[in-house]
Amino acid sequence: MAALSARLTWDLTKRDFSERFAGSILGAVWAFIWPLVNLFIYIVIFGQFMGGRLPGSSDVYAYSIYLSVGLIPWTCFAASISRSATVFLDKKPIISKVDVSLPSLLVFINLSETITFIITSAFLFAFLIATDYAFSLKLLLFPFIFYLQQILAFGLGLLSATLTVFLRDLKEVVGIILQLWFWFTPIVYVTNILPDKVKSVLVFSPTFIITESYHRIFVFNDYPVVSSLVILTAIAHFILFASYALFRALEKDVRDFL
Amino acid sequence: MIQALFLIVWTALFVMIAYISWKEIVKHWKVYLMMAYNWLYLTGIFFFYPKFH
Repeated sequence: MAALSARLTWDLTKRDFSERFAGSILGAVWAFIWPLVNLFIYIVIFGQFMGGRLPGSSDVYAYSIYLSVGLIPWTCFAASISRSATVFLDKKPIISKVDVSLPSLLVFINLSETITFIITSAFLFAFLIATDYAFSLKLLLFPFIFYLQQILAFGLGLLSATLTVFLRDLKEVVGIILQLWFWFTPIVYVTNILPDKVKSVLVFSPTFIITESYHRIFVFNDYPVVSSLVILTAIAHFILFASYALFRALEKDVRDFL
Repeated sequence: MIQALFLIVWTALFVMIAYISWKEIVKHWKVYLMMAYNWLYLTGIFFFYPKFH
């Protein structure tokens, strides 16, 4: 069963990519064009044409980098959760025919979104090299913070996927929560512009800690706040643990409902 | 340099232990065990990495 699930997960990931661009002349090339266009919008439109500047920095590209290192991981995080919310319903034909491990269906979504993230990040790094960006060893933490982010996305995705089977309205609620969550995370704006009261609440948001960590290592050449990251690691794993325990308790009902 | 070495050794240790204890996903408690390993792995990185600079 395990091997089957691993193989199925990989097949689903490949199919997810091929289906997305099925019938188009350029095919998989679109998987590279989309991230490139998105990065162009973040860097050229927002950073240059709209004249976005980072307070306290004279670097003309500082805001473009600030925006990109917040938006690229967020896009992956939000897409992983929103697509996971309906995965059991979307893959109903497979679930009813094959004895597949249901959480492995979420793995394919996370893998697929991670591949898109890696492609976009590769373009971002090419941009950084082209603009003589000063790379430091702090950037080695980038994949690990992203890994933590995706663990959180997996835990929340599994919770949403399990509950959406019983309550279909949840997929809309997930979309609204993600939209609000985006604007309550300092991705397009800097934290300093927020009122103190809002700031004192937002520091407890997981995405606030994650985004701030990206900003610190990429823009401010500093280490993330260790205590925040360690606490967030514990919280993300607790959410994953609780979601999996809930899923195990409801698995039979989930399969019956489907 | 020592920072990069720490990441490589810590990751190799995690992969080795995880592979040995999770060759086949047959028992569900192994999933919880993997979560605990993973938690220790990431906590170790975030806690120790800045100390090596």
